[in-house]
Amino acid sequence: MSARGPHPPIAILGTGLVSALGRGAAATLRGLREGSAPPAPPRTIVDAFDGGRPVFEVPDDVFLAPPLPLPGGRGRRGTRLALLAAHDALAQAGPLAAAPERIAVVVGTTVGGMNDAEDWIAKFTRLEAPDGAAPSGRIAMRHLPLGETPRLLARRFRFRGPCMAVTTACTSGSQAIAVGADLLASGAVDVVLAGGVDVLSRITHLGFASLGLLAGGRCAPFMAERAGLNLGEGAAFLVLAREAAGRTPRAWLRGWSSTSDAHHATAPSPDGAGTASAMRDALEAARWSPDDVDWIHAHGTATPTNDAAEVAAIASVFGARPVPVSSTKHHCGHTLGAAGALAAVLGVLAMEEGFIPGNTEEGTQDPACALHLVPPAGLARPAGRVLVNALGFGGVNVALALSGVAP
Amino acid sequence: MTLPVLADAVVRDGSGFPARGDAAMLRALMAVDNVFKSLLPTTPVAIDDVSPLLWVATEEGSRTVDLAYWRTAEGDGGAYASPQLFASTLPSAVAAEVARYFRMSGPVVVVTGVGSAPSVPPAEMASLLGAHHVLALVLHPDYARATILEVASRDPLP
Repeated sequence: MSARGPHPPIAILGTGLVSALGRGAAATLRGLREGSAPPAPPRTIVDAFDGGRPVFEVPDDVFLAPPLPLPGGRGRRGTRLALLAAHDALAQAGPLAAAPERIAVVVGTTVGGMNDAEDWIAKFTRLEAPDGAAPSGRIAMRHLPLGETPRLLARRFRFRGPCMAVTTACTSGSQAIAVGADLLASGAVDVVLAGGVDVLSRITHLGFASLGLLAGGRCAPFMAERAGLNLGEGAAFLVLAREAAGRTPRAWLRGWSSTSDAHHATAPSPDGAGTASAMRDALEAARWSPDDVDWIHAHGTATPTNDAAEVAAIASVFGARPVPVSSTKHHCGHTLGAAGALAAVLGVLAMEEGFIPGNTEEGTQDPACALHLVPPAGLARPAGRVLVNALGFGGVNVALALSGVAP
Repeated sequence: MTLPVLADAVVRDGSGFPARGDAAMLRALMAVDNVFKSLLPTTPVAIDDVSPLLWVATEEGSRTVDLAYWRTAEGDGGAYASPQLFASTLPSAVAAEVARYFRMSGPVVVVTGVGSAPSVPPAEMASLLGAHHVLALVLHPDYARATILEVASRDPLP
């Protein structure tokens, strides 16, 4: 987790992703290059803020494509997204040179099946029980198993190694990758299916609205006009392996680190110290210097405090170096538990395509955010080393250092 | 490797628990249920002055807080949802509070669903992550007990 010397390189054999941009690399890159539809009022949830707090939802047609729902008919929206992304990642990875007992499933999520449980919970909180008794929390929460998605993925793909959900707020997806890498580095397993998934739910939409963190239009990371984030939904998975087994991997995970701000329940430490520490540790673990980094995929939620803390952290680590920085959340929203994994897959795509996605074109750069932001159209240039940031409620920070296949 | 159990906290209502935390801390955590609160006073027993990997295993966080939040959110289209309770609905809330209170700047990992599929036990899982120091908090599924596992080290503790 925290770097103590160099990490062994972890091979990335396959990736898959689903977001408001669509399913797979082609749809995603098309959106990143040519522009994306703006966020819209949510269709899958209804609340007091739906009209004024637009979101990025996954297009309906994505759900109609194979593979079809999981055995037993349990294919809830989040699990369905996870299945699609995991399926694509595994298909790309090809046959795995590992026994089922040596393949782990690690899934990052913040709310799990909350969207499916909400109607049920609401009935109980309205005391609709025939005897009017207070509901049993244990019964009501039975529909909210955070561990359901990894369990069903393991069953679907017949993996029998360690299986768990990681839930560290908005770093969950990155943290799942880091945990998977730790399992590989320790020799506990040979292959890990790691990633993240989250879908829209009333509980998160209302919660972020209550905190005053939702934007009224498209979010604008690092811009002076930024007024909050857009919630999104999606899933992204990577197939990680301790050995490339004679194959050329898609990319390498060279370093990873997780730290805690130890500061506040929701706000990041203003000086970005914890985020900076995670970035430094990941660089150290990868045996990189700040000069080696070609692109920072920023967490960049577009909330005033989050962006300010991340800017301070990047300045602390990179100084005046003109390292390109961008956030992609203006294209697909903040996908919470999927965000870090989605960013990692985008990092892989950027290295393969020689295309660094641009930051938003909405507004003007905040003078206080003194970053070398990637122009909105993106940059067509080789990117061999990418640093992916994630920050979450509770002050958790995760940084991932990814490299291409070139030496 | 299985970590030794350092403290096995029985906390059905939070009473009778050694009050090692100060009152201000507990007041700040009114949104957090008794199981979560009870972890905090016990933690210093385990962490001493090291900054380990903080590893929490829980089924789904706090059901009590989830329902309390939902009650604030169900009327008027959710216009009066509680921001404080919302933040505490995250299963990682307890880890964040432990880290914040004790100034632990190391990695924080909160896992759920462990044991619901073929898997290694939580304590062994913590050691498999390869951390040099681990503080593992295991919230038992019935939410009546919390087990704190001793800091484990591959190096001599300071």
